[in-house]
Amino acid sequence: MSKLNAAILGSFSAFKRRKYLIGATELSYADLAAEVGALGMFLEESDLRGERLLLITADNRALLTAFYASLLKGATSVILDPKAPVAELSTLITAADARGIVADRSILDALQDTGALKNVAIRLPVSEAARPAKKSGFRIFGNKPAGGHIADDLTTVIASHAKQPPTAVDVEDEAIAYILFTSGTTSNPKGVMISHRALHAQIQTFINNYRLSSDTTVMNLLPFHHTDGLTQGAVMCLLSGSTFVRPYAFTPDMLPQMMDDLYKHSVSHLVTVPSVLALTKSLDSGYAESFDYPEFKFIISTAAYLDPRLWQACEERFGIQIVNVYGLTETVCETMYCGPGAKERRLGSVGKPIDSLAKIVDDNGTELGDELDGELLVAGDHIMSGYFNNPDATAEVLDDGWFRTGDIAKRDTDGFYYIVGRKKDLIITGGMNIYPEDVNGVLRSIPGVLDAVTFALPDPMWGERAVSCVTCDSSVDPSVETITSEFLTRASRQKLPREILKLDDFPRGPAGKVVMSEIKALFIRQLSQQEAQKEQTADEGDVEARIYSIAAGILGCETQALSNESEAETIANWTSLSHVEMTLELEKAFGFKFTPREIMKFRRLGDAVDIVRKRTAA
Amino acid sequence: MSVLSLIWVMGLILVPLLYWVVPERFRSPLLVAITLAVLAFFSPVSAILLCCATIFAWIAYRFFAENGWAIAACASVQAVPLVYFKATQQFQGFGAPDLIIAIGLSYYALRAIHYTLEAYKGGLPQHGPIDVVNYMLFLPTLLAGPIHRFPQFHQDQQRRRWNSALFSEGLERLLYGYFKIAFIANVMINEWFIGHINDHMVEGSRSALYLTMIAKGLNGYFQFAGYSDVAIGFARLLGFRIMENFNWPLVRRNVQEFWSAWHISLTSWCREYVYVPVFSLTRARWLGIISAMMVLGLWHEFTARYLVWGIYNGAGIVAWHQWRRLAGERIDAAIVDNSLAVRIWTAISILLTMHFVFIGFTLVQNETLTGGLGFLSALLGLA
Repeated sequence: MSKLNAAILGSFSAFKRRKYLIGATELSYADLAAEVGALGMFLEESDLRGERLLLITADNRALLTAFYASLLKGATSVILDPKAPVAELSTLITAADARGIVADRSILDALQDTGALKNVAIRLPVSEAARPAKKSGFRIFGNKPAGGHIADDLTTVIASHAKQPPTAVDVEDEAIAYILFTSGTTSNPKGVMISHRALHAQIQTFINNYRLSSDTTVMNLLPFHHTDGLTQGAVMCLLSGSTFVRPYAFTPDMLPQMMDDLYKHSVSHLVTVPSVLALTKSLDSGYAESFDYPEFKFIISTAAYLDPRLWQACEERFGIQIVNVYGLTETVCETMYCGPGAKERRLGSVGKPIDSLAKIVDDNGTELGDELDGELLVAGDHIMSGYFNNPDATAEVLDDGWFRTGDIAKRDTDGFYYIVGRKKDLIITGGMNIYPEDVNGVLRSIPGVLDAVTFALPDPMWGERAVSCVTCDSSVDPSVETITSEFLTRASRQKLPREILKLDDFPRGPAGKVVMSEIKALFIRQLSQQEAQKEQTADEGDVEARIYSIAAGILGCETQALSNESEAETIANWTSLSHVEMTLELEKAFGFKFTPREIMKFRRLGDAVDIVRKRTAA
Repeated sequence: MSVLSLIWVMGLILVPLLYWVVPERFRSPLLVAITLAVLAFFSPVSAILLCCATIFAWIAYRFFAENGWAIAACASVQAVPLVYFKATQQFQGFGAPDLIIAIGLSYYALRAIHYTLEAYKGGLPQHGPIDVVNYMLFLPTLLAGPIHRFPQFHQDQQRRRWNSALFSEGLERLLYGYFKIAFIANVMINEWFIGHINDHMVEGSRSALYLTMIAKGLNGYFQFAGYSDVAIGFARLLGFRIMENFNWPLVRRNVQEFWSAWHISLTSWCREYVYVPVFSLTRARWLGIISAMMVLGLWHEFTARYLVWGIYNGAGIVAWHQWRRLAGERIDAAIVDNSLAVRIWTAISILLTMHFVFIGFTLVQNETLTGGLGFLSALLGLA
């Protein structure tokens, strides 16, 4: 039996009474074990060992039950985004060559006509409206899907195996636990294969480094089709006996709710991405004490570059520690950790490798010394087995146990690593990986689009944002709005470029290749012109600076100490008197009178900025 | 009904017990049901008034939040019962209807106005009608405030869970509250201190009057702070951190600071919903201050003595701002490097502030304004 499966069975046995999942409903370890046991028996009877099982559902409970059952029974889970458009799912399902699928009923219905499921013998629909009434588990409808080869009523399956404790088949450590696709919206999908050994090694590192136990509670709202949601959330909790809090998927408007739920569920570890941390700046002072309770340990920031200013600002505002981590889907999840121990912390760095090796090499593969930039290579038990059905791609990145990350890094003399750039063509926006070639492929498939080029621009909120330039057939000439709506029928929203610019032609070199530096410059120029126009009308940047300057004069502080979130609760001298003085001074400076409603609305400095901008623009 | 009554003390024991025993989804309905039952038992009209205020607040938020005039009308309607009951209190026996006790009206009317005006300002988080019911019918703050705010309450409701540390803090605050009311105010000040003045000092002498003024001022503080502690402690037993109402007001260096530390939930209400609107309409800071303090006074009682008391304090704040501008800032700057001078100046400031405030209290500690003025004249040797 693989170490991973032994650990899973150990958890089921050791933490029976503990709560495992706080989601739309609550699930104990005992309930999960019962459901995994039942589904596992079914998978074993269906002879899915060594086969791939597609998991495409927004139902956390259904997905995790199927995932653990699949591990125990030696099947390989292939987890896909339940929100992805049918076209993208079809491509990935075909590439996965799976024999079984557990998916939301609406997804199965939508896939019926695509032919993608023709070789998928076992189809288990999950009802999206399913809410377990008692301990019966999630409801899975068993109506025979049109065109399906085998139909099973999983509710009946679970009921008929209800009292079966989970068991594991004899799976080797090198067996593939799961596959996650990191690219391939239209063609040539790249599926990362993670073995039982790698997953187990990664989780042990998490448990040791994050000090997880049956007394800890982890909140992670990142999606399961990304490793950060799956391994650094669900699996990490299962093997440590922790409680996993995931009541909803994260959207920006859920941020206040998320902050409230931290305390409500006594969360000890919050796993999130830098863009969520950036969003917390918009919260008012009522949320400043969101982490102020004894159970809370630290935030784990993953999946994208964490700006040191944001890092420090969050730590100071909330009085907490942020552990910045670095890794890729190919390293299961993380390979370097900046914290939580004081000696392992250095602001701005991704820390040091734990339970793994790292080196920096030049273009010839020669290892470089400290403070020199080169490609980062990592090695250890947590490295992937390879890309699914793609030996060429695997050979490009795996060399004698070392994995080429494609990231340019340097190491300081104390052994801390810093990511300074990227060698491979990848955009990371809000923690999500976007491959420009994927986006280009989708854009080119839109009627009227002749060619597309996608690249990254820095973004204060998302770290990077994807932007695209397209050339169009003059006889069709689709508008940007049309291109956008067509794009969303072919690929998920997260891959949609933030801006699309139509050009007559791309700047090209002598061989006809697009000159990226020129096209980027062209794009930025265009963007600057738009910004300049905006500034001309609203005088935007100046407005903020002038308001800060006036406020700083009245409040007796430095302008650097002010932000749009500054208010009476956070600035010592902000009294009702100084508030009035600010109002009067702003009226004098900008030459208009605030309306009574505007005065009443003016609580934070950002309110004043908004008011002045609106009035000056009008 | 007083927080010292047996039924209230029993409630402090039984309500949290029941509250934490029932499943989470029943906790808020349970609290609302208890509030309504208590009100219906002691004063059915209060229960009806509170329900009407709650429904009306929700209607204002749901349908009129974008219309300034409609919101002003809604807030005015919410103020009508308060004004009516405050006014009729003064005319008992002079042809006014018999007094109907409206329990908690002074507090929930201001809560309803706050909610209505915040709806207009866009300061309310996303919520449903049940959340407004839970807010308006929150048992711990029913009798004596504080006039806590909806956003914080809503956030606490979202976060609510059993927390032994918070529960323990709640018990601690209850203990402090009852100690302040029962021992410090009732025994130490009323029995011992005032008893000593009555027994050993010449009645009507200036020293006796002075000490009586001090005693009554201290009594007022400890009584009211104690009541607030009980409400805050009770709320903590239920998992809510409601706003503080007092922050060492008697050791403040000026009258502005005093009114930022005394009955904070009311003074901040007046600042937000009287001072700011008056200022925004007139741009006259002094008028905003005087208006806010007048409303603060009349909120206690619709009488001349409270009107004068409000104006007195408002004028004190305006005068302090002028003093600060003319000399105060220069004095502070001159002594900033001399720690002894700073300490002496601070002590003088605190004593002056306390006396200014206590003198103000004498205006309302007597039944009538003339009685209060008479006391003051005698104290100052003018009578």
